[in-house]
Amino acid sequence: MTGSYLRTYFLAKYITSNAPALAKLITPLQGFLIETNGYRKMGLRYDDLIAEENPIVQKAINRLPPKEYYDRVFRIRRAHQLSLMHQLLPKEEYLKPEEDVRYLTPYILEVEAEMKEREYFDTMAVVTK
Amino acid sequence: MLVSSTSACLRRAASSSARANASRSLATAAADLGFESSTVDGIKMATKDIAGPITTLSFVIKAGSRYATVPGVAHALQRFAYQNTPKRSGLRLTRETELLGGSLTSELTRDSIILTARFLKDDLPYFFEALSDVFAQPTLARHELAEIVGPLLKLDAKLADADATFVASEGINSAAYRKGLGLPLYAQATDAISIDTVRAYKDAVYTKSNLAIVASGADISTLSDLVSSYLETAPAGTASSTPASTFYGGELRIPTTAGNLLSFGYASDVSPTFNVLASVLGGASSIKWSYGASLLSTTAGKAYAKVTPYNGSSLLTITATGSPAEITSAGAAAVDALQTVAAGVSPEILKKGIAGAKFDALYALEGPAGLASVGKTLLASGSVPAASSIVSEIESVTAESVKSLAEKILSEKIAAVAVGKVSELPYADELGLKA
Repeated sequence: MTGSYLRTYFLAKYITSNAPALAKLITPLQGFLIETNGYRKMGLRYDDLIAEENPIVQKAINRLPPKEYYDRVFRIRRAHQLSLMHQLLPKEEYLKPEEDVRYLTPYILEVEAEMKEREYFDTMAVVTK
Repeated sequence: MLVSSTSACLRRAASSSARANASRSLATAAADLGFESSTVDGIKMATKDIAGPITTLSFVIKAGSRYATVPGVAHALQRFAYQNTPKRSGLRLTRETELLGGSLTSELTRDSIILTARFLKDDLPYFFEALSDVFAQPTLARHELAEIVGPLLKLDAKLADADATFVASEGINSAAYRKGLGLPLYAQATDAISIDTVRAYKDAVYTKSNLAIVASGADISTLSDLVSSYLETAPAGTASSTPASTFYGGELRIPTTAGNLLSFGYASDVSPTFNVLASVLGGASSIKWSYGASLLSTTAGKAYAKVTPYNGSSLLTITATGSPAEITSAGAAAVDALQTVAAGVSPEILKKGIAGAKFDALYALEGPAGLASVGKTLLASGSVPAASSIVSEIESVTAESVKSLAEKILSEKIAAVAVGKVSELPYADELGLKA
């Protein structure tokens, strides 16, 4: 799950930095997708949607600064409550685009790099010259 | 043609190395302990170029628990050694060390944090770079404190609590010095250590002026070159100041199931008389399965005397072990031994004591912890300890001074610690001591 999430993340990064024409074509779609997805209307950030039921994301969540961790739990609980009541936040409380920060992604990438490195060292072959 | 170009090359290399040497202070000639010393970029260095396949490299840093701004922070910083740095992760360092063959250790004392690498001689550049990296730019990430270092701190404290000898030594230090040397060596459960305190402590103490590099099996010019290439950018900082230690004294009784122990101690400014008195009292046998011939080994019960040399203070401790009943008799016997010394020291006993003290003092500079002791002296005094002056200082101790030190311990306030079943262990005043 995280793997596919990261692939999308890297693909998006790659497109924005290496294929400006394609990026120009796709970017307007972004607003439309976010609008239809509607997570900002429930006060969530994009990183709140990442599936957390795996060791990598669990570890990343544990590494969040205490304030970030608290805010994440708050947003998710609020969203649960809204979902239960079949409601959206009042319009002025929608998450603003500038508030939609990738607060968790750097930690996920860090944990994933660590796991990759461990795997690399656990399966390495020593070559004698 | 080829020959001439090679020799031109060599000349160039020689002249450039001569220039490099001119910018450094001149390396002193090998002193009587075999160490050559030098100062490069404000970093004190000493090395013993002994033959053999193994090199030991120690970074001795004036950052021990006595300098801790928050109790336990020195312990946290010591345990952060060999974790992530921007250049390589802790895992990579461990695995690469395994691949090259070598060992990395870190040690915390009241005076210093000591990072030591032992490895095959050819790998000097790698390990020098690794230690410099660990010293100059550890990442000190918050998650490392939570995931790796924090549990290690708890483990160290738990293991230490289960060791009666350690508990007693902590007690003696805390009663004797209160602050500074009296601070606990390890982080306690009550210490709230945050990553910000560790970072602040690192910035204050991991500086070039607090660092001594001591090696055996490496030559001084190679080390100098490595220092210039890997440690030039490390912060210069100011050397941690070591306030004079005051001896307070007092009695502590610590109930624990770790074992029974009675220990009393007396400290004052560094003096060779302490070493000689400890050697005269003795108690530890130098030969297996024998009792030895020192005063404490010939008395009933098991008790031994020991000197702990700190920067600026010598601490003499007499420790009795065994069951509470054995401790009571050994404690009384130790006081008897002190009274014997206070009544007068015969020339033979003094001679024996001086010989023992000389060996102990010199072995401390030679044995496994030798490099750390040399580094500590190098930081404190700016020069490598000289065996000849250590020997002459100890030889100048007179029977009169040993006698008067014993009298002082018997008459002045001392530090006393009872560990274990405290209800059955004697108080210091029951043994005729003041605490």
